[in-house]
Amino acid sequence: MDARPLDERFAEGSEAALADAIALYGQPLLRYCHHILCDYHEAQDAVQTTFIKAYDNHHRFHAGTSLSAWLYRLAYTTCVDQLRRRKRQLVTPPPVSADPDYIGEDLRRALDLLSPEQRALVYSRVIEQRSFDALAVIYGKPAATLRKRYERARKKLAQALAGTPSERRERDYESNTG
Amino acid sequence: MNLTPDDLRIRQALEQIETPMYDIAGAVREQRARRSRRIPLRRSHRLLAALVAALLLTATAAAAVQLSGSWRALFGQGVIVPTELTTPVYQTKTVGDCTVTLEDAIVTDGSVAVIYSLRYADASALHTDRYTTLLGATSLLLDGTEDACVSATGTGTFDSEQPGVEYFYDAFTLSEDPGDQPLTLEIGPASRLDHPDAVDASIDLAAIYASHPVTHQAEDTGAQRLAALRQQDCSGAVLPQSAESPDIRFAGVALENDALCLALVMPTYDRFDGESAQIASLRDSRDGRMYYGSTHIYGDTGSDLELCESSFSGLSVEDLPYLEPQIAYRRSTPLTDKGWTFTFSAPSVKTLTQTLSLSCNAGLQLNQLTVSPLGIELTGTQTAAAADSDTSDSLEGPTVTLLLEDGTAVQTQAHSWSRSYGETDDAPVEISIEYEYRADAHSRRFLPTESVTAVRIDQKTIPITE
Repeated sequence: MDARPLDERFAEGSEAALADAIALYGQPLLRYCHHILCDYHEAQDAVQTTFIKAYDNHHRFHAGTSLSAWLYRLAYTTCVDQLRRRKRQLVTPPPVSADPDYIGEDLRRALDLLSPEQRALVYSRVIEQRSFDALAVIYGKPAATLRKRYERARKKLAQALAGTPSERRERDYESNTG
Repeated sequence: MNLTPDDLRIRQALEQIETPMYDIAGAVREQRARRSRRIPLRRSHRLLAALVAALLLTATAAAAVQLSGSWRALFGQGVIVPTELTTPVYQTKTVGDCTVTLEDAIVTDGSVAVIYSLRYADASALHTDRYTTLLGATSLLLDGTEDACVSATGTGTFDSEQPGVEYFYDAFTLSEDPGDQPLTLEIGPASRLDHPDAVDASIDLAAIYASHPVTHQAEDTGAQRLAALRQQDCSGAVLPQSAESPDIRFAGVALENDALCLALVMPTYDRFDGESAQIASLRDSRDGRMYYGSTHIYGDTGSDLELCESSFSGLSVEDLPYLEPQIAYRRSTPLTDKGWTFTFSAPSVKTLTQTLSLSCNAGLQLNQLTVSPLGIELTGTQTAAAADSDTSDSLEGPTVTLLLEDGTAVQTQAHSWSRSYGETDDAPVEISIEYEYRADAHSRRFLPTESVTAVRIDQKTIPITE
């Protein structure tokens, strides 16, 4: 019988640990990948690949460290790989989501101004509210470096959002009703 | 965490992105099965394929292997396994309703790889949409102890066209040559994990929060969180499956930063004979919108209880009267009262290790090459600048090709990697990349190291000197 925390038993590579990891981190990672890739169907592929990589490389995970951080790092690198492959598709046009409404046109345009790392940092900070120390564990870079990169991304995205028509409409609506 | 006005504006924008729930567990299971499934050929290609297969069979007759279905299921229809590498074990043991067969082993002077299968005695399906059959952890004992086992990696495969069997491959890295000492493979007991759909819970979240408002701090331990939530009156919060799972209870509602945290409390989860639950989502009754939180399990409650907390960013106390939780339950049931033990021995085959001094793209400096019958490993360092760049965070290492004494060039594929970052920003990063040998695009191969005359890494050919 094994009642140990998932962070301790994932390294052993059991099917049970994989099932538990998917149950615990699957949907949050799907959202994370969706925000980096800006394509829901590609995010589905990325999160699947992330868990398969995690299972295949379970012996690389150090028991007792943060499984969450390790999975987010795998998911991030998987998304970056997918974006690189997308760039290499010289003949086929970039994939277009079959459900474009998941991300509005204005927001997509604003997010396109950011690099994948910037989109990941912005999501991790403002949605998941992770500290820079926690982000340093995920991205393997010093907290101070990530703070600078995040601040640059925030500035760029805030400026882009301030200039989008939907944002202006929303602000106008709020000022008229509020 | 304090959010600036820009942060808040960005969050408001990002929260417009809807990410519907998705059956990730099912998709992962299917994708793993697909990796080993034959790609159907179009009718016009079948005759040619049959002809090519016949020619290949003739050409490799001298080294023919009586390959069981497990090798092909795990490594592709075109898998190549020379006979001199494998030791057929074929020991079958049935415990309860489950049968495990240890089929083959490859033993090298630094590793042991085994292939085994799981079946129900009545050949019924191992996995469905509603349940998953699990085998316990494996361990390898050399001369009766685990001391020589440094690490283990494994993969399983499940082919939906053969739902009654699952094959497993485990490779153990050893700190010493097992020689002809007895090897013991231990496999833990089997269990069945049921995962039904999430069910609605009717809980007055607003009343519970009002009974004693709780605000967590990010650094709070599980014990602190549980103690705070115990001040709330959750007596009216009856979970939808409280009759089946009376030990899983609603623990309370709290604020943390600007997120709503809903918690369940339950006995520490036993993955073989236990049950657990989490708040999978919240539905807003005002507009039907679904919210999916991130879940954290706190085991440090100072008791035999776990606190399973789901955090929903962007929701506030004012939203509580309109939020309806959905609870996802999981229950595991033991299928066997004990595991499986197989003892076997096999002569070990050779692994080669060679020092390198080779500079590659992306700031990679390689310093060691290890060639084993199972695959190849490159170790070295990478400059911090290269490791920092986005594109270096990938599985792609240098292109590696093995040249065999008969003139064959064997392609490889990187399948796992690890990076170890230094203490400072500019310290070199230690890196290790492992490659599998490929028989074709869909199949893996294994080979005796004696047949390797050189290894080509990108454009550089390294003669094997041992």
